[in-house]
Amino acid sequence: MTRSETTRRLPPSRPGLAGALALFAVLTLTGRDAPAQQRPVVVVQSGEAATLDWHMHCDKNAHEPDRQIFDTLLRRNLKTLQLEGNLAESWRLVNDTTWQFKLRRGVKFHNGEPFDASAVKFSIERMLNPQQAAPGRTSIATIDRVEIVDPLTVNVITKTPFPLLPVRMSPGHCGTVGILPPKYVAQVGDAGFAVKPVGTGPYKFVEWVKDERLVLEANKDYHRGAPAIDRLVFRPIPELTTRVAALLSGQADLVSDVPPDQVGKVKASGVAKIEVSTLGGFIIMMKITNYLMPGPWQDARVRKAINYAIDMDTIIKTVLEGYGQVLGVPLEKEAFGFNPNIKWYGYDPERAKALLREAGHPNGFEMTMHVPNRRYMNDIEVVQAMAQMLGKVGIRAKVEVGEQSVYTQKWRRRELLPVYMTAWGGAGIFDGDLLVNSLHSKSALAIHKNEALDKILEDAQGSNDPEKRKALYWKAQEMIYEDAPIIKAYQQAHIFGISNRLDWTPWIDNMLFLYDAKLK
Amino acid sequence: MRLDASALPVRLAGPSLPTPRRAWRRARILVGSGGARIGAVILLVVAACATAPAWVAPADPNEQNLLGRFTRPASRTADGTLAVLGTDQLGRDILSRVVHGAKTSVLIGLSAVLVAGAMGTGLGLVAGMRGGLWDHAIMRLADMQFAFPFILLAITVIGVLGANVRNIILVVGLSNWCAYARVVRAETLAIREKSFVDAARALGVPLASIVWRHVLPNVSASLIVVATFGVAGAILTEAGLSFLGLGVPLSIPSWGGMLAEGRQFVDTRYWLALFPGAALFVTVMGINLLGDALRDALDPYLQTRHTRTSMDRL
Repeated sequence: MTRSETTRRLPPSRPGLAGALALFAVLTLTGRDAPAQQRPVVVVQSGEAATLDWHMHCDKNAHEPDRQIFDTLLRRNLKTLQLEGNLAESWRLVNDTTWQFKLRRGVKFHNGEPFDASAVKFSIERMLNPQQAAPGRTSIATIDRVEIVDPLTVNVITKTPFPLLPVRMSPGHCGTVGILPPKYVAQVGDAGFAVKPVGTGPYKFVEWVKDERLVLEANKDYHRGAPAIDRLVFRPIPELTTRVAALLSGQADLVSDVPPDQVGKVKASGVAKIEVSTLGGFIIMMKITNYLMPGPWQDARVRKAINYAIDMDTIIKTVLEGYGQVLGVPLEKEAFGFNPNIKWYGYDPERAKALLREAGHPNGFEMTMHVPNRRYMNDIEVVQAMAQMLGKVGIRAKVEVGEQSVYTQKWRRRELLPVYMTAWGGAGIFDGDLLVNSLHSKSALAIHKNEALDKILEDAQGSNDPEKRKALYWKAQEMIYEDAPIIKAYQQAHIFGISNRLDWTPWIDNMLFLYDAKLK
Repeated sequence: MRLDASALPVRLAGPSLPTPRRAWRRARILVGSGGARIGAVILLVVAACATAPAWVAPADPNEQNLLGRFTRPASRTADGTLAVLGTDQLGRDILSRVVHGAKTSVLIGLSAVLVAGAMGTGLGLVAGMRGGLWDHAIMRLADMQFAFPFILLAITVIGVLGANVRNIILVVGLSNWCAYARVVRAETLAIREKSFVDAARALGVPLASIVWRHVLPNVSASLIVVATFGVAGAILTEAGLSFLGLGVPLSIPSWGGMLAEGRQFVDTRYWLALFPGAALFVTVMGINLLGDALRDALDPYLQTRHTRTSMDRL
């Protein structure tokens, strides 16, 4: 029965085959006829965007193409790291709760719609609207309303002082306001916009074939002048080594997150080079709870001992092959409010043992450390190395690896106890405000509670006075040092593999901006 | 259909019970097979590693040496110790990890087969002896189990109960019982119609005794063969689960886990994945060689052929 069925199966359709051949012939011929046509620049990503609507994701893979399609009111200067005008020419604080932006004249969206104050009002209010359910909404929830003064002037009014407002109006992969065309959005709806976006950025959307490619082309009318590259193609390749292989075989021009052990191979290949950006990468830390689970870790001396027991420099030098730096407090030294006086706990196992004895645990104790499965660079190995070092001072640490989805779920329910690995940053904020996201007890990542610290961080968020904010963040870092709610934070560098024909220098992670990229 | 008890010979010894002569012949076939000899040697080495890994392994399998990571095979680490099979991404000695990994594999392989074999044999005997509704119920359950994708089951069970050695034994064991049940049921169906079983029944031997004394010994030959291949399968399954991150915890070295860790370095540091992979391959091959020879030795038809050829030669 089955046999006769197999024999009855139809041969491959002839017309289809012939059609494919003809198409192939036409493509090769036209390819030869148009030598001036530039080969598109292919960017390989770890995964595909779920939506291209800037307001509706907190996802690096969606932000990377969106950063080319959309624009923000302000942007960060590449050299000074200070904010500068972009779609807004200037901005100022009118009073404690009113920010005024003067907009650039003559900018148009890709569909011809003019960019003006109404687009700014629409974009901010869309993201602010609870019904829109934008995942980054909480970052701008302090904004009350937007008022149009004239077509090129808007006032953003906040409920309380909101010092971080300019940062939220500059690029970042989550909680920042991209400017969208109001008429087009109304015309195609949210679902239509998510798959066919229109912005004011340097590249225009062309087509998106799911799981295969996302094609953008140069916006010749970009307000800073047309980009040098005609076409960009984003391709998803989840497997790390396959991404590198694509780069080495010439199928890709730009690959981010190259694993450290592949760096040598890329360098030796002769077809691609390695660029490293040390700024703005993920700040990774192990958090220790002090109230969600009873145990020795509730004692600050024990948390200090854990810090003293770990030789983070060696871990970075070996496990991360040097592609990272120890921070201690989870804040970059370039950030506003960074306190240079704080030197985090060094590596001192004897001191760790003494502290454990002092806290009443001369024979150590058992402790579980949770780590995600390949979310950060060599994450499992980093935690395994930590566990071994903790063993040397008597803390028997068990490493538990969580699959991505399970880990995220448990992390949201604050069930990764007593110690787990997480990261913050990489959003280009460069502000002490980062401490709120990582250490305020109400933040989504927190498993540690320190009410005095919470208060200081809240005070800093509610003030527009830079001097006062700086003083508060300095104090906050002193308290974090004393409380040791984390194991030495470190920042991973970002390793890019770039084909030799592409001329581009990365500067901040998650800000893959290809406007100034050129082909050699 | 049923034979009259009076028509039976007086001696009721099961005709297939191994007599010393037959056992001797089987042993000769086994020893005479080259495959069996190779398999036995491999398994002896694996067994030695599995029973006393600490004696065989040169170092602690979990001892890290961050400064000596990725040492090539047959070279020395920074502190001068010889790494025969090299070191991994945390500077752990791969030879020691492979040796200790044998323990994990053998422990899980044998235990899982014990679980599967015990359950499958029990259910197979019930299905075969009782027949009727029992038979239908058990065999349809086996069909369902066969149709259910194993990995899905493993992910669910491990996800709910957590990944540890006991749960992996249970998952692998409980999902493999059907093979044993089918073989045992088929053999039982044939044996229960044999005249010596009828005779025993006619003499009033209780059912449990019949099963234990007459049926079980006669299905044991097939059972041993299935179980031997089952061990190989269970070892591979454990490795597969560990490779997917559903296996034993990181602190216990396992071949599958080592393969998974070594995978990302496979094009630059081949030795991380090569040696655990080779250990897995050689072990499974050893079991299969021995299993093949066992099957030949225990198969009555093949046995006659063997005997005949030796007679022909005479």
